[in-house]
Amino acid sequence: MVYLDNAATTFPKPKAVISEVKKCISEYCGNPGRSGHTLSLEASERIYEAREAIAVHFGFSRPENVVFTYNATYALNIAMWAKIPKNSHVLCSDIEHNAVVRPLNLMKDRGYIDYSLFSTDGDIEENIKNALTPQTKAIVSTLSSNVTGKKLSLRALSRIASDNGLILIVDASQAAGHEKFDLSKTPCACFCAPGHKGLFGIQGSGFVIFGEGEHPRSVITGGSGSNSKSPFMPVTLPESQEAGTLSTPSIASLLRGVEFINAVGIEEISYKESLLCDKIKSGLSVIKGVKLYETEGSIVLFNGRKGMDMLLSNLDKCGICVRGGYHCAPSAHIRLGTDKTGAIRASVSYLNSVKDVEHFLKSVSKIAAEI
Amino acid sequence: MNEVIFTFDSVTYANKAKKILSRAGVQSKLIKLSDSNESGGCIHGLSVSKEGYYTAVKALRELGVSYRVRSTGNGLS
Repeated sequence: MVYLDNAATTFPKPKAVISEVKKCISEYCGNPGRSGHTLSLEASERIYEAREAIAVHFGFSRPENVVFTYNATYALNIAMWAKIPKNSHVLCSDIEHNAVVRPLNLMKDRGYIDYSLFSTDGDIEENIKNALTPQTKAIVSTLSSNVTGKKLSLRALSRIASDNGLILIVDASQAAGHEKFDLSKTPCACFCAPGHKGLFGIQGSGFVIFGEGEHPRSVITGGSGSNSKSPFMPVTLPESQEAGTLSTPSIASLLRGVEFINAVGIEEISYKESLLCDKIKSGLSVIKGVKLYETEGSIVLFNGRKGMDMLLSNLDKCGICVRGGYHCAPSAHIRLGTDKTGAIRASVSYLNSVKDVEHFLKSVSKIAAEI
Repeated sequence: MNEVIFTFDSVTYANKAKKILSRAGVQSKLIKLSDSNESGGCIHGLSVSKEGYYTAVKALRELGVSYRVRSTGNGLS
């Protein structure tokens, strides 16, 4: 089997991640921060280690501002409802995933906000400036498209948000673990990411890093393990945003995932991913019956000349795991002209090999010749 | 009484303080106090030997971590 669906979730996970999950569920998985016994306290200590590791990895000085969620979608929903003021206008890019578009539409539908898109063609700072209205209070933007890998500069977004007094919420779903970030130099109100993609944690892990000095209102309320006599959530981060039991195994896995990335180095990861993708692109470009689209980073997007479905089902039969369809990002497909056909995405991780790529290309070539 | 108990706003801050104290060479034990009215219910704290008290206070103050000290019966609170 060759797994090339790493933009959806990375597979396999590093050995240290698997070991930690096993260790957690067999040795210390008490309910973190709830009880006074050894297992509960040990779980809380591991969770704090994970907050610290994530803060350091992203160049941020306050581990307590790392709020754990179950995935990037939860992180983005919490960030948007916690930070965006009522009656404001919001800008988002024209390549967003539904994790951004649907919450914004819900907020709009409820009469809470209005929003519009800025173009990602050309100079995004200029595009955002041109799209600003007197009511614009926030920008919500991806840092890398899940369809094309197109990157948006956090430096540019941070600068324009700061210059115009805007709240900046970023979706780093396809960027975390692939690019180096230093939030001390490129601040934002909320940096949202999944744990189970480029950061190599397991599914059920995600987080928001709230910026320095942020005191966001609670979005989800419930038990927090402290201040128990109060009918309100605690006001301090992270507990103000973390109602209910955290997923200790997922968070512990994320800790080991981040350590794995630090040990390998982001530059090395990025280099290997680019190398593998270049090899895939070169190989696909000479196969008759395959159409290749322009992509960046760890993503390759292609299609069969006679449609996607036949190619996709045959790839599955050859043991190749890729993702076809619209990738929950319809506007990105409209921009590409694939909104009627969809496309097939192959996405690599550091743990893929040249052998994987060769097997994939051989399979595509064989299927394309047959259909 | 040979130990001092520092209490914090949350388990996260208690764990943060534990790391800070460890880096300052002070050993501490994370505990949960459910009989406290200080913070409107359950709170988390660190138990520190009285020898480590002044180093602990210095380290926490330097890094701006808020804490309270519970009565210890040894004149330190």
